[in-house]
Amino acid sequence: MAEFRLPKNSKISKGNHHKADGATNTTTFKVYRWSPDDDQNPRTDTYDVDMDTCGPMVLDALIKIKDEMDATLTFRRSCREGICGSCAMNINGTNTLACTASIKKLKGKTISIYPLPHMEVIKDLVPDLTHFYAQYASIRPWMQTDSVPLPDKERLQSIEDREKLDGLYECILCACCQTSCPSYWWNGDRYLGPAVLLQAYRWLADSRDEYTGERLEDLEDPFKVYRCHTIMNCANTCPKGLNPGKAIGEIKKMIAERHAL
Amino acid sequence: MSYQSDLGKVKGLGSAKHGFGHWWMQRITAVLLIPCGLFVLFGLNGIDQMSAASAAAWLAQPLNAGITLLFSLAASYHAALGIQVVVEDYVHGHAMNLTLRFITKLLMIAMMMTSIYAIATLLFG
Amino acid sequence: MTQAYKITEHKFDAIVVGAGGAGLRATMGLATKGLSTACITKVFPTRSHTVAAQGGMSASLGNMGEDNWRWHMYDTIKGSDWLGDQDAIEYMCREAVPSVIELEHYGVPFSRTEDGKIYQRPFGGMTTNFGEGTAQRTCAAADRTGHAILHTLYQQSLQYDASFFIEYFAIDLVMENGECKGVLAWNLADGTLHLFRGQAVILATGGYGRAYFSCTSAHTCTGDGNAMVLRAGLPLQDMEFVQFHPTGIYGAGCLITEGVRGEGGILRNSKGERFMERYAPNAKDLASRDVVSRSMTIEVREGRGVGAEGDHIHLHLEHLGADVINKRLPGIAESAEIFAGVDVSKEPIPVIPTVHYNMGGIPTNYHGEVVYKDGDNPDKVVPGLFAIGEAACVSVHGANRLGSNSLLDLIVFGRAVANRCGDIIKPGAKHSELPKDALDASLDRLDKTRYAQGDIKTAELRLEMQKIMQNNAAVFRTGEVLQEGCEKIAATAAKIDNVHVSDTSMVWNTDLVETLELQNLMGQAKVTMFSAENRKESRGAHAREDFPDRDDDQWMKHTLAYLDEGGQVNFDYRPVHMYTLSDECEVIPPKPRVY
Repeated sequence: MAEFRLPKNSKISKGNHHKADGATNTTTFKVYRWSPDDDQNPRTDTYDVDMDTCGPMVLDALIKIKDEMDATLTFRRSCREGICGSCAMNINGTNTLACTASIKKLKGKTISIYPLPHMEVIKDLVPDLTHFYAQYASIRPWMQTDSVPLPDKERLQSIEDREKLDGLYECILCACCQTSCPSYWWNGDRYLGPAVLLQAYRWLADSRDEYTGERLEDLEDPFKVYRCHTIMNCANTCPKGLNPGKAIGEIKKMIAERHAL
Repeated sequence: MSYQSDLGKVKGLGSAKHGFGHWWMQRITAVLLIPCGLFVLFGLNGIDQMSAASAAAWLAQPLNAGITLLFSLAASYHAALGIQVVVEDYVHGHAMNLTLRFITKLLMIAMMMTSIYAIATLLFG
Repeated sequence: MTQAYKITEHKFDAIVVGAGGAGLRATMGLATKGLSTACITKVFPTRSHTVAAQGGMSASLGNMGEDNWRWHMYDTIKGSDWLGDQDAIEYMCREAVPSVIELEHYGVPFSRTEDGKIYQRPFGGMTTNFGEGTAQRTCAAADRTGHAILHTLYQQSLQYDASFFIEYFAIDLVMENGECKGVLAWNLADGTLHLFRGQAVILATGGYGRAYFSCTSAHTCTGDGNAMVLRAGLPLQDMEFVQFHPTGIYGAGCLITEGVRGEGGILRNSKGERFMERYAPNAKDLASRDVVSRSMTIEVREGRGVGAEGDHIHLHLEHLGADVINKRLPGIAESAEIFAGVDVSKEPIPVIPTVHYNMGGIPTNYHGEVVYKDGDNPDKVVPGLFAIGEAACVSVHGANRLGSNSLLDLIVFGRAVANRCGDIIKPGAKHSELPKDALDASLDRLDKTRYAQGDIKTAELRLEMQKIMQNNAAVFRTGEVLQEGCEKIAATAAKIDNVHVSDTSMVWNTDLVETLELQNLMGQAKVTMFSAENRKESRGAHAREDFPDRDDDQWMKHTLAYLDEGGQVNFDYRPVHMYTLSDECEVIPPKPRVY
């Protein structure tokens, strides 16, 4: 059966409290911690961060914690401008990028930070994304054609056809939507999930690609696509404002069309 | 523990190349259930006040019988499709999954046959 | 050492370190040449900083009007302030066209013209007819060109037989008798160490923007490849040339593409003046980046900055209209909203020149082979070692890079290095035995750093270094400030052995990663400051107030900077290549640089 309860060794205990001495304007960050090096259960550590000397985003706070309070805190980060997709995590119950999540807009004096849900954790806020990446590879996310383009000329594409890729190609593979989807939680081993299906549709929608039929044939499967029950957590959580649920709907429409409906 | 490659795990047994039929029938039956359901609902409105004979008489009319039969067949099928999704979503043990899906199909067939028998009896006496 | 580290050995024909635009293009190319190829990267490929490139990639396709690769070559040489090697620049500008076409064939979702061709926009310093008109040469996918290209390259690489080692941190090159034999790397996911043997090691590790306090670069831009080269006793070239991008968001430092000005955006000071008309009467806001950054700095200095402190400039794009903004600059609108709280259709974006690109790096020829000066030979090749992308100094950018020449550089030289390796490496060739102590120094450094129990936090020392670089090696430089900078950075660098590492785990120990990265940054920061002090002229991005003019007699040469084990910076020089590859174009002789 689907698991609705945490296994024993995943139950979260109360962790350490790091105080901001002398600071008057603080926000409290409760952060999930787990290390693979000992046999301890995960815990949530509490950090009081001095907001007068902290940048505006949640990532700024995490970096401040790592720099000044606890260098062992582990998380991924890179571009800090919402384009690389490294710092995806669950902030106050919503999957998003720490670098574009404004502390002020989150309101409240306490902010809870957990790794992306329902993924295996490598350490602290670092989830193991290898399965997600393998799913991405499995849809053959590259241009497939039989006709050979002229070697010294680009393939032509009309402005209207190019516009069909808007809202799709911008995906940064952060896995926020993927790991917000209950269907993906229960059947992530076989369901491709919103992010991968959005990418699949990106190639179905590309007027230059010639393998639409093969792609649709490969996607039509009770588990790969039809686990989507239009719950729409994906569209709600996408930090880039994309709508994977709509893309999945488009795939279903294309499959229907293929069956001559 | 398995040393299978990540891509190998994801590809698994490959695409079933079906799934559309299920999805489509679920929608077809859902759409069908709306008019049929309303028809039956209004037709048998106040069934608790009716005598058994007058209910049977209503059902013995060919149009009423036909639509009621369509309603109960569509409802059985729709329910079975729905329950199958729930089982696929939440029941992960292979044996349990198979058993539940078998029972679902069996119940669906039983419900369909019962409906056909009941209405046929009323219709043809 | 506290313990013996177990090392897993892998044998490949070629090892690529880094999976940004250059690294991925090289990896793909090597794999298609039939070479067994490994790509080692410290972040998942699509997280590399190429993803943040916005404006586009230059190539004289001529889709928007007449164009010629010779004009592109002229612009690049002028942009480089005649420090670029003209053979390499010719190669890049000629190869630009097939490189972009190839990317389109791979599936990059370029924006399109009415007749279905790749859309091209104007960019700073890009002209037609050797400086006369404005060229529309920069191929764009809205304002997410780097993202589009990087994702496409990763997608392409999935279909070739290259092995990716993702989230592996490269520690050191393995050198023997002046030849590169492989790379030592650390797998963050399970904490194991790996020795990658290769006939060729290709460094595609990017720039070191994080040596500065405020930069557009990602946190991961720490120039690890440059530092590995320095540690191997090889020189870095032209490190004094650090490009300040005119339009980083004030405060956050995030990039606002030059494409904004290409599409018609205008810089204005506190008086509302379009001040670039005064500094660059022809090109105005589309002068090259060093010129615009200096003009903005002068405006601020002379009291015409905007904001409460009068310390930044406004970039206006309200007049462009919603259609241009939504179609061509949607990402910018999003970034300005998030990081400056600005609605670009109504208000200007507050911007400030921000460290953006390192023209300097590992000296190479146009094949991507790493070179150094050996006696009278200024172009001596280091066998087995290659460098491409921002890590390399080919040098196609000379003293100042033109916008949209960077994505081009990545692709052209990523291809070039693959072609070169295809020519000179025999697939499956046997690897020589390494001496037993080949890895000792690197392992010793790793172990010492892992258990470092000094008094200074890594982050504290990093901040100290970044502040010095920001203050003492800025847009305008003077001898006095630079000398002070040299003293300060030397003192700060000396503290590196006194850092404190709290996490001793080998699994995803980012405390240790950041400390190793700081060691890498520190060497480069030092070399940058000393090179800047050493070059007594103004050229491109290196603007000395005490030597305001370009001095071609004395300084038309590349700086080679070595860092010896005692921390001493030593200099040598290589001549600029004032010759072309073919007779299809002519050498552009130096002349005054006005826009």
